[in-house]
This record gives sequence, structure tokens and C-alpha cells, in this order.
Amino acid sequence: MSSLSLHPPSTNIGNKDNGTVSRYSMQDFLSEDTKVEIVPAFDCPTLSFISCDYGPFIAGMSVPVPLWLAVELRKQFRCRITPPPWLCESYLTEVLNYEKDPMNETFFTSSEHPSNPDIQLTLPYHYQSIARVLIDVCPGDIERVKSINVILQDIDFLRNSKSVNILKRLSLSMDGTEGEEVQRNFNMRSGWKGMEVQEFKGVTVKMLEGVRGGDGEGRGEGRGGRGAGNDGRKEGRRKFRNERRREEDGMGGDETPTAKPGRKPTGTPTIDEDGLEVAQIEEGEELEEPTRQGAQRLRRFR
Amino acid sequence: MSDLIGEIDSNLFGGLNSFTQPSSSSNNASADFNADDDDSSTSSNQSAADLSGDYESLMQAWKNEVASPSLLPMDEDVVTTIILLLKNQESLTSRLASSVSSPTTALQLNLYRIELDRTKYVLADYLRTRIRKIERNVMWYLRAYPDGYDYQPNPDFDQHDAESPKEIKTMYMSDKELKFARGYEKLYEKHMYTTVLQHLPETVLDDQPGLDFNLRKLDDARQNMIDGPKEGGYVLGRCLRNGVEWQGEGDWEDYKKGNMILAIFGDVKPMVVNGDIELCP
Repeated sequence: MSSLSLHPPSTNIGNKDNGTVSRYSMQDFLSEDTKVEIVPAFDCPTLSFISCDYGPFIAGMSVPVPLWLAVELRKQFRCRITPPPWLCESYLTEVLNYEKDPMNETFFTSSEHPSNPDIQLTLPYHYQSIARVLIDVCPGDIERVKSINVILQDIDFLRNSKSVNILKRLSLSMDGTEGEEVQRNFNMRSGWKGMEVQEFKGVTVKMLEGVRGGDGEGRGEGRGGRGAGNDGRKEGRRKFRNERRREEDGMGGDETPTAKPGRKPTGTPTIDEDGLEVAQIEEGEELEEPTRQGAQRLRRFR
Repeated sequence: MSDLIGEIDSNLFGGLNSFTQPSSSSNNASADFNADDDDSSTSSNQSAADLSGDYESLMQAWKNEVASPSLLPMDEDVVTTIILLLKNQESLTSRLASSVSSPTTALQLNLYRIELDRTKYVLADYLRTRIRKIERNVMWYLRAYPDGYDYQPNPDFDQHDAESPKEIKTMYMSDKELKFARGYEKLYEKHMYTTVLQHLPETVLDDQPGLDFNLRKLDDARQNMIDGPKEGGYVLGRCLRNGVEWQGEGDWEDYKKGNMILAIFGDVKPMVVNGDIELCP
């Protein structure tokens, strides 16, 4: 009947790593409660659902309904969906231009309505899911749907690479006190939407846990409550810093490969980042901006 | 073991399963039921309009529960109300089904069923997620919340005011979940005893006298064998309203609605519980 029964949302707690976009996910399920306007082609009295009452449906009169209901009606050719105001070419082009600009480190937040400057338009939290469903189900109801589809894909691509950059910076700076700062920056500035959360949540969380020294330190933290958690975090950071220093010392003398196994226990994606950084310092090449900051910090620690 | 789980499951979801057998009274009523009848539609309208907030609460609770590493407080009222609403809607649907007269009625029926499926799925997944968490740390939860409640000292406690409670009571496990947890713990202990513990020596002598401990006991305090939920992990959340004040360490600026939050779960748990932040599954 609905797509729900065929593809149950993935709510597996532990496993968030697979960033497949094509799968019906929990984000899609949640997005289906968003309200959209439809123009019904049938008459029907008010429908009383568990969530809310919708209707009455009078042919030709526009009425707001949740997305799942709109999609179901549209599949039976009983209504026409009015695309939400943000799903238009001019607005999305504006978003794309903002995301394209290398000066903009943050994500697009809001702007004026293309036809009415008094209304501030924001992309809804689940905009990727909503757009995909609408483009799949009712391409005929959206103007210039092909070009919109291309623009949406470009935006997704740019946002993804921006997210990766944010994560890189986060991972490079989590070892010192600046970690707190960067984390706050992340909190204040990143406008992640549903799909980004789905794709990057697993790797972010694992990365940060690794920086804290994830092997077994989280054990029994629940008992001590928050205090114990913070202790664990500091402990992890100290450990991480010590390891870095040891590595630097090893490098200062002759090249000892023994430093490598020493880093092993952190066991996280950051290692790749970090290994790269170390290699660059070793060769004395021109450093990238974040890497240079990292090197300065290391010097300060010594 | 599976018997017990099955039994508890049917206790928890009993309300849902029984929907498929509508009561005889509703069948009788179906004879004079008309979809366009004003009386019937207004009465059900009222109940739905009054209680629509419960659906939102359930969705919120579901999202938070799926994303959080440990059990969150449960609002039993929401669950009971949703079960009642589901029952109500199910009987309405079965009455409609027995009197399909026009294409409009068929459409209504179809839409009602889709929504029933969705809500049932959310409710079932919410309860199952909770059960999964209880199963994972059953011994810890039973020791942290022996009667299903968490008691915290009330900061606004006033000695002279007879009304003010000394402790704030928060429900973490409902009666049915508590019953399940107790049964599951018994089975778990029995299983551990037969497979491992009975082959171990009864006591191990420590270097210092008087500190020997029992290897065959799972919950020996000195061995720290009971794992708690890991609240030290990071979670992603979203601010639900402007000006949420940070309660963790460090001077964090106030947040705006819709801001992303990346923080340690233990730090933000109080804000999740009082509804300032939602977790992103």
C-alpha cells in the first residue's frame, strides 16, 4: 500500500556508517510528516487521523496535508501537489551560488522569497528527502524539474565536500584545548540537514570518541554520570597529546619506526589525518594552513 | 527465554494485536454507520483534535530514544493515549470496511489504514528500542532504578511547605518493562551460572585478608562487572528553541533554534529530557 511496508526505516542503533543515499531511511520516514499543499481532484469530508484532522477536501481548493498523504493521493491521480516555495529554480540557484563561493565556510541558512521579499525562506531540515520524493512522484507538478534535479545534486555534492572539510578541521584540533572552541564553532555554524546527519553522524561520533582514547575508557561512565564522562574526556586528550609528543621526539632524533605501533590504540579515522600530518612535517614541505597550526601547537606543548 | 520475551512482547503490544479482532459491539454498530454521518465524525473529530499533541510527543520521544545511548525517561501517558487512539481508529476503520459503499469510502479506508500502519510502526519501534536497551544493560538498569523510577533531590525543596516534594520522581521504566527486565535478569543470571560461573572456584583470596570476593556472583561490588550504558559518547542534536543555556562545562554561548549540537550525551541529557534539544537519529 505505502512504500513503508516494503522498506522499513533503518533504526539499527549501532550501525550508522553506511551512507547510502538511495535507501529508504529513518530520515525519509520523518520527512513524510512535513506539511505540503495539495489541490485535490475529489470531494471528501474531513478525515480524522490519529495525528491531526485534514480536510475537508473540495475539488480545486488547496489544502495542507502531510507529505505521505499527498504522495499516496498523487499516486492515485487524485490530487496535484503544489511544490513548496523553496523547490523552485531561482531559489535553489541562489543556494547553489552561496555554497559554491569558497569564501563561505558555513552552509546556506536563509534568504528572501524570490517573489515576496518580506518572507524569509529557509531550507527545511529534511529538504533532501522531500525534494527526492516529490521529484520521483510528481515530476509533472514541478516547473523545470530537470534543471532543479541537477541543481539539487550539485548542492548535495558541495555540501558534502564542505562537511568533509569541517570534519577534517575538527579532527586536527580536537587534541588541545582549542578542541572545545572548534566544537563550539561546529555547533554554531554547521547547518547540517537530515541527509548530512545520516551520512556523517557515524564517522563524526567515532572520530571524536577515538580522540578521547576510546579503548575501554568509556566503561562504567554511566555510573559516575557527567563528571566521570568529563574526566574520561580529559584523560583521553592527555593521552593523545602525550602520544603526539612522543612521536615528535622520536622524529627529532633518528627516524624510528617504533612510533607507529604506539599510536595504534586510538584506532580511529583521525590517525589517517594525523599520519599524513606527521609525514608532511618530516619531509619539511610547505604545510597547509590547518597543518601548520597543528605544528605550532605541538611546538607550544614542548 | 524466547517464551518469556514472547509473553512480555504480547503484554506490551497486546493492545496492538487485539486491534485485528474488533469487538462484537462495533460490528453491531456498523449496520447503522454511515461515513458521512455527522454524529460519528464529530465525536471522533473531537478526540483526535484534543489529543493530536500526543502524536508529536511520540515522534519526539521516538527520535530521542533511537539516538540516545541510554534509556530516557518514559511518558507513560503518551503511550497509553496513543494506544487508545489506535484502538479507536482501528474500530472506526473496521466499521468502514464492513460498509464500503462508494469510492470515497474506499479511499478513506485506504488512507486511514496507511496512517494506522505508520503510527503502529513508530510505537512498536519505540517500545522495542527501549527493550533492546534494557536487554543490553539489564542488571545495571535494575540497580539504578529498582522500582522503575529515578529519584533526584528537589532543588526547590521547602521545608515549611507541605506541598513541595523532597525528591523529584522520574519514570524510567514502566511497570511492564520492569516486569520484563526482572524476568530477563533472572534468565540471564541462570544462563551465566550454567555456562560459566559454576565452573569457577567459589571464592578467590585476595592478598589482604577479608577482601576475598565471590567469583560466582555477577554483581559483586568490588569486581565492577556490571556495565552501564555508555553516556560518554558523542551525540548530534538540534536546538528546539532559542536561547538554550548550556548546562555543561565551559562558557558556551546561547544557541538559536535549529542549531546543530555536537556534545557528549551525559552533558546534554538534562536538556534532552526537558525538551530543549532533540537528538538526531
